[in-house]
Amino acid sequence: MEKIKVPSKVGIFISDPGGRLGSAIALDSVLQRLAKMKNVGRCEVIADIWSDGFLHSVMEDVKAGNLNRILWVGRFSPNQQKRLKSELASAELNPYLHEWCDIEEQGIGQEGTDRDIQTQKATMLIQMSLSRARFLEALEPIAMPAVESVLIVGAGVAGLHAATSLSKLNKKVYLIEKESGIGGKVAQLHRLYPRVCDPRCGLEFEVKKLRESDKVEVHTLSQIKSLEGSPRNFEVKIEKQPRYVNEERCNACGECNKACPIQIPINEAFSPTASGKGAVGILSKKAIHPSEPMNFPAAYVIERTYCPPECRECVKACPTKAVELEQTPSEIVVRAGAIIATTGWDAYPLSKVEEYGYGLYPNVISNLDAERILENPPELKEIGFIQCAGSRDERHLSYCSSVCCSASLKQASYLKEKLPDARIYIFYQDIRTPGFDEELYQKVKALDNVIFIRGLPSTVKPDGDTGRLKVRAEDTLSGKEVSLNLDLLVLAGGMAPSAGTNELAPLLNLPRNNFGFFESHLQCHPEESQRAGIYIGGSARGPMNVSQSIDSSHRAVVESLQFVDGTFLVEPTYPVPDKTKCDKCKRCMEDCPFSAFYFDDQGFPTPDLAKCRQCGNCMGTCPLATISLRNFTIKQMAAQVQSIKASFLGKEEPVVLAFLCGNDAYYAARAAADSGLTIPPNVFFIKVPCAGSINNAVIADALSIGIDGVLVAGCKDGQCHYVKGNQLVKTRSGDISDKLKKMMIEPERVRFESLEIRDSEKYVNLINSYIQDLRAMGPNPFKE
Amino acid sequence: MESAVKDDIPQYSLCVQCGRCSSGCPVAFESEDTPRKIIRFLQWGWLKEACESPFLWLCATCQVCKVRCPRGVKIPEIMLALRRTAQQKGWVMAGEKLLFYRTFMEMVKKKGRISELHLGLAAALGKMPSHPIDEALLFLKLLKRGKIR
Repeated sequence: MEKIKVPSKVGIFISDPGGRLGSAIALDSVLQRLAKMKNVGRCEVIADIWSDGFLHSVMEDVKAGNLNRILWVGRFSPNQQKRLKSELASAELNPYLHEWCDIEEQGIGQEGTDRDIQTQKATMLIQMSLSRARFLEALEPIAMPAVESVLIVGAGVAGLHAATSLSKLNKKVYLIEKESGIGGKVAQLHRLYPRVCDPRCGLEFEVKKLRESDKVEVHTLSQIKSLEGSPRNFEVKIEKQPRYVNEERCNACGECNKACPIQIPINEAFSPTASGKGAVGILSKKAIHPSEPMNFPAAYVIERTYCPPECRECVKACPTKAVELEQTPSEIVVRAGAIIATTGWDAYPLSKVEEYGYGLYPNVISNLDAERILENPPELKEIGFIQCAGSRDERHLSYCSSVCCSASLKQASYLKEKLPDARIYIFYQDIRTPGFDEELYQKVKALDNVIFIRGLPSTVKPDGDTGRLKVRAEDTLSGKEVSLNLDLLVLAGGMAPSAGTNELAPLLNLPRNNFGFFESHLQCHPEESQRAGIYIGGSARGPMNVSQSIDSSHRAVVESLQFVDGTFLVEPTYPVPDKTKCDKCKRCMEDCPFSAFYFDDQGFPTPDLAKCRQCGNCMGTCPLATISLRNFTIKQMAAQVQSIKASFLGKEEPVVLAFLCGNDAYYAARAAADSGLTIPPNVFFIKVPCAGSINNAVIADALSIGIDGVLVAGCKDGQCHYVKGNQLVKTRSGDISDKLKKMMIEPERVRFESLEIRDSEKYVNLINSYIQDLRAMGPNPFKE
Repeated sequence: MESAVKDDIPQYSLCVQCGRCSSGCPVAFESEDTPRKIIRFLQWGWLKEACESPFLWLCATCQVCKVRCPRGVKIPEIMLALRRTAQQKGWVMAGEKLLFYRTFMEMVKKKGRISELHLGLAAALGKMPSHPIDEALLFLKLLKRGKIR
C-alpha cells in the first residue's frame, strides 16, 4: 500500500514558567528564527503548559491538521511527559510524534554567560531537535503472541523450584533432566548446612507440589538436541534415552533388583579392585535400580551397557511385565515461550590434583563422596579434611567455590556426633563462612578433638602397609611442623561447570565466562544469559549454596514471565534494514551483542524483534549506513548535526559535538549542568542509546561541516549495558581515520572517552581540555 | 615499611601464605625458618631478616615448592636471588657456606668451568686448619659404609 506522505507540521512550545529562560536568553529572537524554518506550524513561549485553554488549543490544531508533530522545549518530568502524551492521544496524536528538548541540561541559563552567545546556542539546540521532529513517524507497539509454557533444563534444586513456582502461576512447564531421576547434586547430599538437616525433606516438599500439579511435564533421561524459533516461540527437539522400563507399568516393587546378577562400581575410588585396605563407602549397585539420584519418577531404570546381551533375569522377575529391553532412543518436540537453564555444577575432578592421591588411595575421598558415608561411617579414629583442594589454585580452579568450608564443617560436626572418639583435623588456608554461617564455624571450633591447622599439606603419602595416609604441613600460625597419620582424608574440592552446561552452551549459543559458567551482567542481571528468552538459575551461573540456588532460580522465573504471558509487546523503535542499499556484508549480525540477527528468505540480515534490545549497535556498525532504529535514524542524527553552525563563536574558537551514551555519559553531562558546573558554550551534545550506535558516517558529516572536534563518550570497558558497544565504536575508529585523512582532517579531531554515571566533573574537564587542544590544533579546514 | 622489591627477586606479593611450599620442602624444618616464612619476611620488606636466614643455604632447589604453589610463586628463584643479595651485602649467617659459594662462583667466572680438584683445594685452604682432618674422617666413614667406589 502506498503511503501518502503528509508534510510534517511541527508545533514548537517553549515552556518558561516564571520567565527564567526569558531572562537568560532573548526568547523573541529565538522565536523569530524558528518561525521562519521549514515545517514549523506554530511556535510560541508558554508560561504555564497546564493553563486553561493551551492544551485545548493544541488539540484543536491537531484535529484540524494544522499540527502533526510537537516539539516541547523546557524541563518536563517523566510524569508530565506521560500526561501530555496521553492528553494529546485523545486528539489522535500518536505518542511517538512528540520530541523533547531540554536546553538547560546543555548549559543554557547558567549565571555569568554571554546572553547573545547563549541565545544563538539555544536556537541551534532547538533546531537540532526540530530536525529530529520532522522525521518522526507514528508508531504502534507490536504484540507478538507467545507460547505460554517454559522449558526448564535440569531438575536439580534450582530447576525443581523454578518448575513449582511456574506451576503455581498456572504456566505449563516442561522439566527435562538427563539423569534417570530428579534432584541433582542436592539429592546426593546426606545433610545440608547450617541446620545439618536432610536435603530430601526440602526436595520432597517440592516433588509433592509436582505430583499435585497437572502443569508440569517431567522428562527424565532427556537432553536438548536442537533449538529453533525465537523468544516467546521456541521450538525445541528433545532426545530421550531409553529407560528399558515402562514408566506406566513399573510399581517399584524391587523384584528385578533382587534378581539382577550384575554389580556396577559406583565410584572409581571405591571400586573393589583398588587396594583393599582402608576402602570406605558403598561399593556397587545393580544394573537395574531405582531412578537416581531421587526415585522420582518411581520407575526403575537399567544401565544396559553393563548387561550381558543374553541375560533376562529382570524380565523374568518382573510381576507387572514392565521391563522392555527393546526400547530405543526417542525424540519429542516441545514449544516454549522461554527457557530456563538450571544445569547445575559438577565436582572438579580431584584426580587432577595428583599430589593428594584421589583415585589412587581408596581412603582419599571428596566432600561429595563423604556424604555417602556420613550415615554409617566405619570406625575411624583419625580423619583429616584438606580445604581448597584444587581451588583458588592457578593450576586447577582459580576461584573460590564459597560453600566448601561450610560443607566440611558440617561434615566434621556430623562425624563427631557419629564417632565421638574420632579426632578430626581441618587443614585450611582461610575459613570462609560468610554471614550467619559463622555460627557453624564457632560451633565446630568449640568441639573436642577438632583441630584446625592453618597450613595446607603438599603431598599425601601412604603410611607403609598400614593403609593409612601420611600428611605433613606447616602450621603457619605457630611455624611448627605437623605430621599426621590419617585413616580417612576428605578433600574439599571445588564446583566446576557441569557437563550439562558444557553441552548446552554451544547448542543454545550461550556465552560463558572465563571459568566456563553461563555469563551475562552478573551484577545487575544475574539471571540473564545475554540471549533474549533464555535465563539461567542456580549454580549453572557459578558456585553457590542451596538457598542461593533457589533464590537465583526464582529470579529466572520472574524474568521469563514476559515471554509466557500470552502476548509479548515489542517497542516499535526497532532497527529496520534498507534492503535496497544493503549488500549483505552481515557486519550487523556479527557485531550484535545479542546475536539477534537471522537471514530472511532473501538472505538479508534481519533482526529478530523478540531478541533485539534496540541498542543500535547494528546502526552504528553498518559500513553503508543502511540500517536505522525507527525514530532514531541515521538521517535524523545527520540532520541534527547539520543544524550546528560551527563558526558561531568565530572561526578561531572551537566547537565540540559530543555523542553521549544514554546510560551513563548523558547523566554525567546533565548532572554537570544541574549542579552548576560551568558548561562552556562551545559544546553541543546528542544523546544516543549506546556509544556503539554512532555510525562513522555521522562523525564524518560533523567534521565535514566544520565542527572542530567530535567526542564519543561511552561506558567503561566491562560496564557497557549492551556488553561491548563502547568497544565496537572504538574499533571502528580505525575505519574512520583513513577516511578522515583522505578528507585532509586530522584524525585527532575524534576522541573516545569513558564516563561513569556521576562523572560530572570529569565531563566538564574533558570538554575544557579538548577545547584547549583544539585551539592549539587550529580550526577545522572545512569551517566557514 | 620499605618495599623490598628488587629487580632480580621474582614476584612474592602473589603468595597467600598457604604453606604448601613448607609442607613439601625436604629441608623445611631443619632450621627456624620455612620457605613460607622467608616469603613473609619479604612481604613485610624485611630483606635483611630474609637474607640472614640459614634456610637460604639449606635450599636444595628441588622445585617441589614451585610445583605445589597455587599462585605460581617462583620460590627457588627467590632463594637464589636472596643468596646473591646476602652475599653482596654481607648479610650471611653461614660463613663456611658463603666461602664455598664465593669460591665456586669466582671459579666459574674466571675459568668458565669447575675443576673439582682446584675447588676442593681452594675451599680447604680458605677454611680452618682442622678442615682437612674433618674431611679425612668423613672420608673414612664413607669408605666404611661402602659409599666410595
